[in-house]
Parts: sequence; C-alpha cells; structure tokens
Amino acid sequence: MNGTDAIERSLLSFASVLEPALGRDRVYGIFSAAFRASGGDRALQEALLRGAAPFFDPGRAAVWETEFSGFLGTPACAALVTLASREARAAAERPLELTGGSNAFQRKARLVAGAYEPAAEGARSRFQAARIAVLPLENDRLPSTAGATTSPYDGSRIDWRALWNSIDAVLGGVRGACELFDRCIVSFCAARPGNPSGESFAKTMAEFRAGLVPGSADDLSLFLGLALSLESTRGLEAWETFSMLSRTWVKNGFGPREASLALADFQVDERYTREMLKSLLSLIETCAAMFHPGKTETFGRVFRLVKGFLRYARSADKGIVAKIFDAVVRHPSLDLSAWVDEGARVVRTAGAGSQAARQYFDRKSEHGRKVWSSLDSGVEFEDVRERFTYFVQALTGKPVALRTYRDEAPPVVDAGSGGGRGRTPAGESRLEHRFFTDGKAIWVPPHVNYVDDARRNLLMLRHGAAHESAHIEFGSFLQDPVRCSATAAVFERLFPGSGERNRKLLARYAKQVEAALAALGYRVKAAVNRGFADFPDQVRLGFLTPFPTLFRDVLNIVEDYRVNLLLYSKYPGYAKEKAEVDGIDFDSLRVLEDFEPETRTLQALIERLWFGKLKGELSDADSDALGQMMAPLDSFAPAAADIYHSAMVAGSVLRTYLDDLSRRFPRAFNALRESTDVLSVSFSSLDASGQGRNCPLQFEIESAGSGGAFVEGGGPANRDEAETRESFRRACGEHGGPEAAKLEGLAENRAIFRYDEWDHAELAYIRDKCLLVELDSGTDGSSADDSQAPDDLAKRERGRAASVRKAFQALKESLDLPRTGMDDGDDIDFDRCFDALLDFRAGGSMEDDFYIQRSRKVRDVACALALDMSPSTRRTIGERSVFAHEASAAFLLSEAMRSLDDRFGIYALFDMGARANVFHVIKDMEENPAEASVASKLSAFRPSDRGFSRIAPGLRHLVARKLGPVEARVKLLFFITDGMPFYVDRIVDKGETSTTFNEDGVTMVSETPIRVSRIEGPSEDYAYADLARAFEEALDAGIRMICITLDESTVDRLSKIFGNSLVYLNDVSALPSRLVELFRKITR
Amino acid sequence: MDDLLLKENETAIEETDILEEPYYIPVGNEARLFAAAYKRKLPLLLKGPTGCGKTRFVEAMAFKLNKVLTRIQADRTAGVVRAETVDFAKKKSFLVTVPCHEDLTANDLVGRFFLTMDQGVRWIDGPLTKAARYGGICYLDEIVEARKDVTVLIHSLTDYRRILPLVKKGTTVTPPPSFMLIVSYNPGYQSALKDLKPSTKQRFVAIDFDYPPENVEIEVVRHESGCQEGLARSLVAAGRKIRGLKSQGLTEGVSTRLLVYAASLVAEGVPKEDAVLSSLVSPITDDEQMRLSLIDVCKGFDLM
Repeated sequence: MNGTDAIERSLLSFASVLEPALGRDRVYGIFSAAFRASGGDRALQEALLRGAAPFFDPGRAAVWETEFSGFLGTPACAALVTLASREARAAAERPLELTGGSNAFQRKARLVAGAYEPAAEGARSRFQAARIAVLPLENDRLPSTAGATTSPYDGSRIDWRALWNSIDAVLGGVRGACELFDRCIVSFCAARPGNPSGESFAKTMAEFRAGLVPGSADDLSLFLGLALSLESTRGLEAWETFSMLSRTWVKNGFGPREASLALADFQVDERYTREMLKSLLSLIETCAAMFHPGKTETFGRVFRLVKGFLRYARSADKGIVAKIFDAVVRHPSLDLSAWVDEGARVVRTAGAGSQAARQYFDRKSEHGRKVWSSLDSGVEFEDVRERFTYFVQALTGKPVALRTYRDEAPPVVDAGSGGGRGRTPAGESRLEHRFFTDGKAIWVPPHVNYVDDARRNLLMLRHGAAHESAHIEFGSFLQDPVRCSATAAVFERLFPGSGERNRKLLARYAKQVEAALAALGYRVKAAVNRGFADFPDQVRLGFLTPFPTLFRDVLNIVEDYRVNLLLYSKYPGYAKEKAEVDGIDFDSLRVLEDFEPETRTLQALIERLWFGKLKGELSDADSDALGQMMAPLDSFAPAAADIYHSAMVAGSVLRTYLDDLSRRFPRAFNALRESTDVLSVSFSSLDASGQGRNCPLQFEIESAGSGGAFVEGGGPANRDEAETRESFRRACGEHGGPEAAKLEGLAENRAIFRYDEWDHAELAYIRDKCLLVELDSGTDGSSADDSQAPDDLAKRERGRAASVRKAFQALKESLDLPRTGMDDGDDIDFDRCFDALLDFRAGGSMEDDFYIQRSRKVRDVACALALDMSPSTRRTIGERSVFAHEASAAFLLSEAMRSLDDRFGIYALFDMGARANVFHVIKDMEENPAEASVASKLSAFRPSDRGFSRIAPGLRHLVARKLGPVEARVKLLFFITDGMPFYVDRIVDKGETSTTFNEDGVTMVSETPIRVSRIEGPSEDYAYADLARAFEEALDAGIRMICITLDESTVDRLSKIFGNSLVYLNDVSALPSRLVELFRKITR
Repeated sequence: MDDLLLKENETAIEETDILEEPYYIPVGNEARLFAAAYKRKLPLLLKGPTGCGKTRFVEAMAFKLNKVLTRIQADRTAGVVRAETVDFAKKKSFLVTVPCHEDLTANDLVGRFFLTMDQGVRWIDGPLTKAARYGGICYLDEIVEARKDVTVLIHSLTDYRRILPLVKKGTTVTPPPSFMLIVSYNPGYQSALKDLKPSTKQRFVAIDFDYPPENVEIEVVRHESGCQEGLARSLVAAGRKIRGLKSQGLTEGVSTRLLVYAASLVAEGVPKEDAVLSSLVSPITDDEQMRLSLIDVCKGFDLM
C-alpha cells in the first residue's frame, strides 16, 4: 500500500462517517477545499479525486471541469465521472448523461467514462469496502481488522490525532497552510481601504509566516482533536468550523495564527452543549470576518468575554452574544467583564430568552444601566458619533467629517504644545486625546473620561468639537495670496535670511525623501507639496521664520485665542459653559514651576490666552518677558482679525520670545538653533504612503512597476466577428488566472458586444473600445462557490420580503381603485355625467369623459438593477459581504416589482479590462417573473475573484439592449456600486515575478514573488468622464438612472455626474430597505 | 340658489377683508419686479422653500396696489360655489388663493354648469375665471401638485394672448389690466417626475425666494411675535445654523415661520427651552441623534 492509497482509504472512511450528518454536498466541499489547498501535488490530488468521487454530484460538472480539468483523461477522473452517473445508469440502462458543463466537457467525459470503466469499478468497490468497514462505528464497536498500519482506528475508538495527521497530510500540511496564508494576505490587502505597502508591512508578514509554521497547525489539530473527541455530532461541527475558518481567512485576511490562538484558548469540554458550541462557532466566523490582523486584541477580548458568559450562563443565546460583541467593538477601552458576568447571572436566573435578560444587555433595564454606568462615566465617541457629526456640520455649514485617531491618523499631527484642550486625566498630552482639525475633518478623542461625571465628559467633548468647528467657521484655513504677501513682507523684516535658508534645506530634504522612497521601491509620480511654493500659507509663513515648528505652535496659541474670542461672542451659550470646561482642563495642568525655565513663558502665554489666568507663580523676569510677548496682542481686535493677523501677531510674539531666550537662556537658544528645526522629521516617521508624518512635503507615489496611461492605437477597430472574439480571448489571456480562463470558455458560444467609450481628453468616442459578453447566471454561475451550501436568501429575507410584498400589494390595490373621468369604462360616474348633461343643456358641447374604469391602471414601469460584482464587493461589512447586501436588496426589489407586475431585470457587472467586460443576467427583462428563480440564483451568486470596476460598458449594454427596447412610460435603472470606477485597459504579462501587484485599485505586496502582470489604464478623470457620458446617454434614451454608492469618498465626484440621482448610503445594511423605498417613491 | 349655499347669518369663511398693510420687508428687488410685472401684465412664478414668505409677499404687494384687499381662499367645487357668494364686481381689489393638490382639475379652476332649483342650468365661474373676469390676482400655490390639464389651461393666459377660454361655454374671458396670475413652487422637494415643464416655466417671470438675510429675519421674527430683540437674534442665528444641515441630514431647514412660532411662544410666557424644542427641533426631525445635535446647537445660542 503506498502513501496516497493510505490517504485515500482514510479519506473514504472518514467521509463515510461524515456523510450521513453533513450531506454529500458538504463532504464534497471538504474534499474540494483540500484539493485546492493541496499545493499542486499531483499524486495527492489524484488520491483526493478518487476519494471524492462518491460524493460527486453530476449537476456540478461545470465546476468539476474547471477544478479538475488538469486530470481529464486520467483514471481518477474517469472514476469520478462514472461513479457520479451511477444512479442514472442504474435507473435506466442508458449511456452516460451529464446535466451540467459545456459540450466539450460532456464529450470528454463520455470518452473517459467509456475508456476507464474498470477503474471506476475499482473505486466503487473500494468505497463500498470502506463503508462496510466503518459501519459498526455507529454502534461504537469497530472491528479491529479495520485497523491497518496507517489507520486512525485503533480497536474500540478512533485515534483522532492520527486521523487529523492524515488529513493534515492531505491538506498539504505546512505547504498548504502557507499557500492559504499567502492568499489570505492577498485578500487582506484587497480588503483594506488604505494601501498597505512598504517595508513595515513586509516585515509584519514575515513574522506572521514565521509564527504560522507549524504552530497554527498544532493548535488547530489540538482544537479539532478536543472537539471531535466529544461526540460525533460536535466533531462534525468542528469540521464545519475548520472549513468555514479556512474560507473566512481567505476572504477576510484574518491571520490563522490569531484564530488558532483564540481557539486554543477556548478549551472545549463536556460542559458545552451543542447549542453553545454552535454559538461559539458562529462567533468565530463573525470575528474572523470582522477583524483584520491589527485587531487581534479585540478579537481576543470578545472571545474571552463570550467564553466566560457561556460558562456561567449555561446558555448560548445568539442575540446576547451579538450584543456582547457589539459592546466590545463600540467600547474598546472599557473592561466589560463585570457587565458580562452580571449578565450571565441574570440569564441563569431569568433564562436566556427572558425579557429581563434582553433588557439587561440592551441596557434598558434599571439593573443593566446601573451596572453599565458603574463601569465608566466616560463618553464613548462611537455612541455619539452621529449626533456630533450633525453638530459640527451645523456649526461649520460644511460636510465636515468627524474622526478619531483610531479611524485614521490626521495628515499632520500637531505634536507640539497646542492649546490647553485635550488632556488625559493624568495631565500628560497624548495624541489620541487631542482635538484637531485640518480644515476638512475634525479629530476627537475616541473616549472622553476626564472627570467622573458623564454629563461633564459629554460637555468636554462638545466643547472641543465646537472649538475645532470654530477654526473652520472663522477661517483658520483661509488662503489669501494678497494677505499672505503682506504678512510675508513683515516676516522678512522680523526674521531676515530665514526664508532663504529654509528653502535650501527643504530642497535638499525633498531629494532625500525621494531617494528614500526609491529605496522602498516607489517612484515619485508627482509632488503634491514638493517644496515651499506648494505649502498652505500658514506653513509657508512658518518657513520664513528660523523655527517653523516653534512658529506653528505659537501661531496655534494665538489662533486659538482669536477663534475662541469669536466663538464665545457668537455663541453666548458655549461661553457660559466655558468656565466649567476650563475648570476641568485647568485642574489637569502642571504648575508653571514644573516647566523648564526656558519654556515657562510660552506655557504662561498659553494659559493666559486660553484660561485667562496662570497656574503657579512666575518670577519677575518671566513676568516681564510675558508682558512683552503679550504686547502685540493689545492691538488685536478679533472681530476684524483673520488668520493672517494671528500670524503677524504670532511672528511678533516669536521674535520677542527668541530675543528673550537668547538674552536670558543663551544655551537653550543655541541648542534650538543647532537642531535643524526646519524638519523635525526623521525617516522613521516616513510611512508607506510616502508622506512624513510631520512633514509638509507630500508626494504622490506609485510602485515603480506600473506605467503611465495607456491609450489604444485609435485606428478603426476591426468589426469582424471572429476578430472581435479573438480580441476578447486575448484579453482573457492577458489577465491570466483560472477566472479568466473560465470566462474565456464561457464566452465561447456567446455573442460579444462592442461598445464605444468616451475619451474626455479628446472629446470624442473611442469606437468599439469595449467588448462585453453576456452570461446567464443560471448556467454560467461562474462564481458560485460550491464548497458552501448556498446561503438561502429567500429564507433569510423571509420577513422583510413579506412586508415588502404586503406594502406593494396595497399599492397595487390602490391602482385598482376606479378611475373617473375616462372616455370609456365599466361604469358611469353620475356626477360627471350630470355635469356633461348640464353642459349639453346649456348649449355647450357634450363631453363623454364620465365613465369610470374599474380595470386596473397600467403602471407601465420598467426597471433594471445593476449590481457591482467586482472583487471589492467581497469585503465584509457586519456579518455579510457587500455583495450579500446587494443581493438582499435585489431580491427585495424583485419582490416589490413582482407584486406590482412591473417589468424588471437584475444584472451584475464586472470586467477584466476594457476588452473583457462581463454582464451577468440574473433575471432578464423579458423573463417571466413567476418562473425566474431570482432568490436561488442570487443566493448562489458570488462576486468575482478577480477583475475591476469598469462600469460604463455594462450600463451602455443595459441602455442599448435591455431597457432601451422596452416600451414603458417610466424606465428606471438602479446602479449600486461600492467604490470608484476603476478602468484597466491592458494587462501585460511581463513574464517575471514580483512582490507588488495591483487588483481593483489597490496596490498589494506579497512576500513571495508571484507571477504578476502590469496593468495599464486611463486616469480616474477619464473613468468619471466616461461614466458621466454613459449617464447622459441613458437620459437621452429616456432612462432615469439612479446611482447608489456605498463609498463616501466617491460622493463628491459622483454627485457631479448624477446630481440628485445619486444616493449615498453609509450603512450598507440599510441598502435593501432604502432601495425598495426609493423605488416606491420614484414610481409613485 | 344663494339660500341653498349660504344661510342668512353665515359668511363665507374663505373671504377676509384685509384693511392693514401686511407686514413685509423686501430683501431684494422682488417688490420692484412685482410692480413692473403687474404694470406690464406679466405672470409671476415664485420659487422658494416653505415658510420663507412667498404668500405674505403676494398679499403685501396686492395690498399696496389699491391699499385695500379681499383675500379669498378657494378650493375645488366648494371654492367655486363659495366664490359665487362673493360679489366680485364690488371688490376694489382681491386676491384669490388656490392651494393646488393632485385632484385639482382645470374645471375646478375655470367653472362649470350647475343645475339650480329656480333658474335651471346656470354657469358658475371658478376662482380663476372670477379673477380674470373682475380683475383680481389669482395665486396658484404649489402649482406642480395640480393635474397636468391645469398647467395647460394657464398657457393662453400667460402669453401675449392673455385670454382664458371657457371651453364648455364656448367663450373666452379677456381679463382687465388689473388681473394677474401668480404661481408658486418649492423646487426643494419636487421629485424628478414632478416638475414644471419648461414650456410652462418659460411663461413666467420668476422670482427666487429664500429665507431673508439675518438682520431682516431678526426684524421679521421680532415684529411678528413681539418678542425681545435679543431672543429674535438668538433664534435666527440658531435657525441659520440648523439650515446648514439641509441635505446633510435634514430634508428642509427651519423656516422663518417656525422661528416666528418659537418667538411667539416665548412672548406668550412659554419657557424658552420648551418653545425652542417644540418649534425648532421637533417639527423638523424625528431622528433622535439629529434631535440631540440640534439641541447642542441651540445651546450655543443660549436657547436651551
């Protein structure tokens, strides 16, 4: 018996244990996953194929074809096919018949089936033998004869570790895990909104890898062993977990190490009921879907809390687990264990489903509130985010975003001493606890807990937000060239020679940064702020002083003062509250005597201007110096002043301070002069985006590999059908990979459409630039993931679908109300008839519009829904992917439209470059809605693994082929997208490997060099302009297009295109209800 | 037939004599535009958000013309019949206001034949015909809400022909020079499917209305409510900040009308906090977070 035979045998045994409980599909799924993870070991794969054969479903031939295409013609494949058709053949002695798959595959399958009949027979008998061998297992008695040398069965019980080891070997062990991990890193990159690249990322990745082998495999096997040793039903669920985890890792980039550590921490014992286990498993899935590697800590916290809860509560209420989960995410800085423990006690006494338990965890019961408030009297920003966002938007009158440092670090962190706001309770000034604004967004602390009083903490938060809003409202970010020049003239007199010196330093530094970036593998595409001339005025003025950073601090002090004066005169209500807020801030200050002598006057200036008083005593000399520094402020009339006045005052203050410093503290002054303050930046603070944290220099960079814009030759495109097809095929080939290959196969017998594209630079259409193939989701469900039981959309959305149907049924009935004033109809409207007779008797003409029509009004609405199915929609938000939300929305909309008898179509779009656009038909306009299985098709549908977001060709296809030809009074086209259009024209295989590559707009880095292609595409402007053009074309065709975007960053640009036809949703889970509501509003 | 419709001791509630000049402060050239349009017999289109003073503007301008004004509120058939009870010929100056809604048809505006007890069949003018016949001002409020045939009806009235055809009667009415047609609409919450056709829009001289400038609005709030100037100032300042949230989360900002309400409540002795909550916060949002943030804003102006 050789190695693979042993594997096959154990697989078969194992699978037949699992089959009764899991079902054939699931078992097949496990094999399929193992096959994919097997790392290309052909012998292993063959073993797997043979093992999987009994579970093969003939309906899945198309998937098998792509997965196992390399094995066509081998005995393994033959066995597979033959066994798959065994039922059919047993029923009627007719030749092999396959229901799915392309003609080519069926042909091939028939051939191999015929040729390898004996092999198939062998496989079947082996399967049967295995089945018999494990039969007694169900009675816990296993014949010892079954235990061969490599068998995991050992007399009376199964050696699960041995079994695991064999499975581990099947999975390719470390090799498979590594591959899995690589893919998960790739997905992680794709899912991340930013652009993680550079050295630090590579380093992290290396660490992950090092940690992964072999620890995670051990931990997992430990877990599985423990889980499996309980009883077979729980063991099965452990298996489910494993396959689920591996999928979720790949999808979400959650590191296997975190998962395995968490799992190891979770020691299964007999106290866990089946329900509890289930609940934990779903939690694992949620966690894995939610967190990126950076959030391991949160994952661990959730896990520990839930574990504790399950132990004490002896119950696994899914709702409560979800609430604990939510609480941890929303309140990252709180220790919730006391709250959870107390909740577990409540559950134990009152029961999990009880109202008391629910209210406790909702913090609605007195008890729940009390325990919660005892945890902390601070304000968690997440709880008030919405409220304060409205607040700052009202004050500034601008769409200002509110952020915390956890969301995103501000572009330039003001690390210096600013105003007196934003202090931690201990009194030290930490970045995270500061309020900050860059004029576009406002950063606030994620958790405000300055005092032991919730109301006052909230007050502090509001006060800080109001101050930062005031900076925006009162022009701290004003740019006025004339005022700037005037100020600059003053500065040149105050600080002669400084500007010249700083310019030189900057130029030198810019070169150094570029060199550093090049060393990291980046090329500077454009310098946003390459030097002096590109800086905002406030920074530029700073560079006219000898110490720009110091100047910025002084300017902050003065500007805070100016803005506060304006704020409190305009908002007397906040002025009243200031005393209370200041009291808290003031208490947290250190006394002046504790500051270094040379900075004491500056600190005194801050306190004087912010609080109007000093904490501690100043010496006479310091007092004099402070008096001189304050002198320029005497002429300060805030109502008439602007930021340039502040700058001018700050300049004078700085001059006075420096003079005083050089006179009284020559040593400190010299030290300051030695430190090239111009750039208090080190290369270590240079992050991967190429921007120094504190550095005003900013570069737009690109990885050295990608080229510039690509423009197609422009000559007349070939209209010949065959050549079009060839071009499509070539495009698929350029893209490479199994997805493209599959697409190429699917497109074989389909029509390929040509569409023009708008070139905004040339102001002309590029003829036939795009090629598009239309696929039917039913037979070409290319992206359906068979290893997963289809998530049953109809079942999940049952509740919502029912209410939608009800609402729209009511709307439909209102259409059935009799309509008066018709020329013809079923009844006579006596009022109108009377009027008409009166008209007639009065000598007027008699109108005959006095009939009532009882027949229903023709609504005459046709609606198409286009879903974005590019890879970015795989991203998970909440428990489900963006695409899952899209699918729910599509399903509900289809229910609505079906209730109204409206004609509708549902389509999904993505592309693999200009020459390979894919247009999936989920339900066609003309298809009878009663027969179309929209829900099941949507359930089985998954977004594409590869590809980009070239939206316009799909929309043009909808306009030209789908909605255009339909006769309807109102034609609607909803388009849902999760990001910006991303155009790729060509994918060039460079025939080499690299560690950076690009997918759907995100640059990614891989540890191991992988075969990569260079993508070339036009600019973002081009993409938007083309989209705008497509929108206009739709309007011209009488189609109203409504774009629903889920990405805030695209709102500005898309709203310029779609105007009030753009809907932005910041909460994707609201998509289904909003879409239906929108539909009703528009077609009412 | 008058007996049938109106008892001895009843008066039509829709008819009000305005004896004092309605309070209106012009904020731009709208009064001049109105006067010129009236003189040149041009129809007017007033655009602007709710509660910014469109109706008040029309009344004030109409009053100015003759220093006296009868305001007639007309609505559908009831309006037609009740309009009959008004002796238009005797009115020196009158303004017929028709709030449009989706069941309002051209016949409701023009008039129809009625069967009366004593006189047999009789034609009764609708509000628009009344205004056209006797030279009043007809104000069609929220014109887009009316049925399509209404907008077509006014076409001949609003171009050089300036005639109102009574199709059923087979006659036309040529209005005297004092007749004027004014329509209004709020572009803010019109859906794309409910908009005036360009052919209709382009028959009017359009005046854009918005909430008045800060100092004017303060004066309006103070005058209308009789409150202290300080309060009017705070209310207006808060109102203007809240308006900034339109399309940021609110469908419509706080109108001048609501500010007047708040000030009036305070003038009536209602505590400031309650008045502000019931007129500046509750009427414009049901969203709890938005509510709290509006209160935060009002706090800044010392209103809460």
